[in-house]
Amino acid sequence: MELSPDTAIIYQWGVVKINATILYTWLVMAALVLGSWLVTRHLHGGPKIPRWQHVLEILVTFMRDQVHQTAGRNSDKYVPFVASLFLFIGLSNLLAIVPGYAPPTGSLSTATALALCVFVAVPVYGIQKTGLGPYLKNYARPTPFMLPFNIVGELSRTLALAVRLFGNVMSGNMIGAILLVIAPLFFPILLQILGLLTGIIQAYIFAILATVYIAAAIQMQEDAVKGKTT
Amino acid sequence: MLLDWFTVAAQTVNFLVLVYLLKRFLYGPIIKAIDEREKRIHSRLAQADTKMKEAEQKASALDAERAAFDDQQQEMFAKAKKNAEKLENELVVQAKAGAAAAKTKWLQALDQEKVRFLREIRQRAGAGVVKVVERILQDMAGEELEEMILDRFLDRVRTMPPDEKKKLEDIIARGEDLVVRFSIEAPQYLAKRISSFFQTEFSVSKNFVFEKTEDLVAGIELISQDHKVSFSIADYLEQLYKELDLVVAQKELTHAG
Repeated sequence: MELSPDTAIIYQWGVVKINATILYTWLVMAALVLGSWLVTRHLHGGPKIPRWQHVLEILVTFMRDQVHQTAGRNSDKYVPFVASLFLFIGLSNLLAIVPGYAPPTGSLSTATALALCVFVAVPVYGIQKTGLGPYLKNYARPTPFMLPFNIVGELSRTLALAVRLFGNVMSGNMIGAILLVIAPLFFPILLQILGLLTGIIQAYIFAILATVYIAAAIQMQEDAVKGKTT
Repeated sequence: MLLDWFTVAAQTVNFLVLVYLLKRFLYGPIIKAIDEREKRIHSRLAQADTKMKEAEQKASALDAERAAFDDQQQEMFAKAKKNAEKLENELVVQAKAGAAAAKTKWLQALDQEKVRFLREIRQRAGAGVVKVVERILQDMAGEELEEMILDRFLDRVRTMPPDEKKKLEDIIARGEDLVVRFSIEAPQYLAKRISSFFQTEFSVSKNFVFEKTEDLVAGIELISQDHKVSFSIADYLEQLYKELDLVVAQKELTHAG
């Protein structure tokens, strides 16, 4: 039993290697991109639209609404980032039902990579909004003594984001595997179903938390600017 | 080691590529399609709203037009009804007048026809009576009747007014022949009686020419060139016929009045 799909090396050339995590990530990416391309190459603008366009519209609209509710109406530019997190994590977790497949989200490397993306995206969007200076000053608020705590808080939430996703997915798979050994007939199926639910919830939590962090960063900047002007 | 930094880097790149590709193939087109559809729906709703308002305006205008048309129709109908009633009354009056005139004319024609019929009846009745009497008298005519008539004739001559008697004396004095007409062949003794009467009465002996004529029915005529003395049934019948005719004419005048 492998704890992480990272250890399943398929091809290695020096430092460069292709393991199960990367391979399944490409698979999920291919499924998402190919499916999107197939549907959106013939988009219908009229009142009657194809079924798959409906599905994608529901997904995109759902994520768009979530981002709008969290970050406000003028937050369309964060939608691709947040929705990609949700779709990638969600599809990776849903495919866990396929035998032989190892979800890339069960790899701490993937969770860390996604958490790092969020970790970088938050200041990028914040700086885009108000500039570098005001954003950096935000870490020294309300007093400069809070600077180390703010930095630690930033790091710890990124770490929590990564570990939460990794822990949930990995533990789900692990428990499934253990139960398969102990009680192979009934419990693994229930745990797989539960795993699907957990996978979607984890995708939702990850995406929403990313949105909340981005929204919080933007909001803090706006509040700081407002406080300064008043 | 759970964390493989190469994999972290590769997954970061993978995720960024995925964000780009999904933005290119999913969010962009889908959001664009949704926005366009929303825009189209808003546009159509706005158009529908405009058309609805136009339709409402047209409907209200049509309602007003229809109401005006109904009013006009009712007004025209009332006017037409009034005209029809007026025309009906006029036609009834004209028809009544025409009927009355026709009735009057017909009654007049009927009266005239009745009068003409009655007159014809009366005339024919009178003529018939005269004819019958004439026929009877002709059948009865004979020497005895002629003698009685002669007696009556001679009495008339005898009792003639003086001026007429004088005129007859003048005629006799002229010496011309006098013609005596009978309705039958004059018997000898009647001729003698006439000759002896004139000799006795006027003291002259005259030549008489005796002739027979059926025009007299029964009677006698004394004729000179310009004078005539007669006593005949024909004269009576002629008189009777004239009197009947006069009576019928008077009746007609009375009826017409």
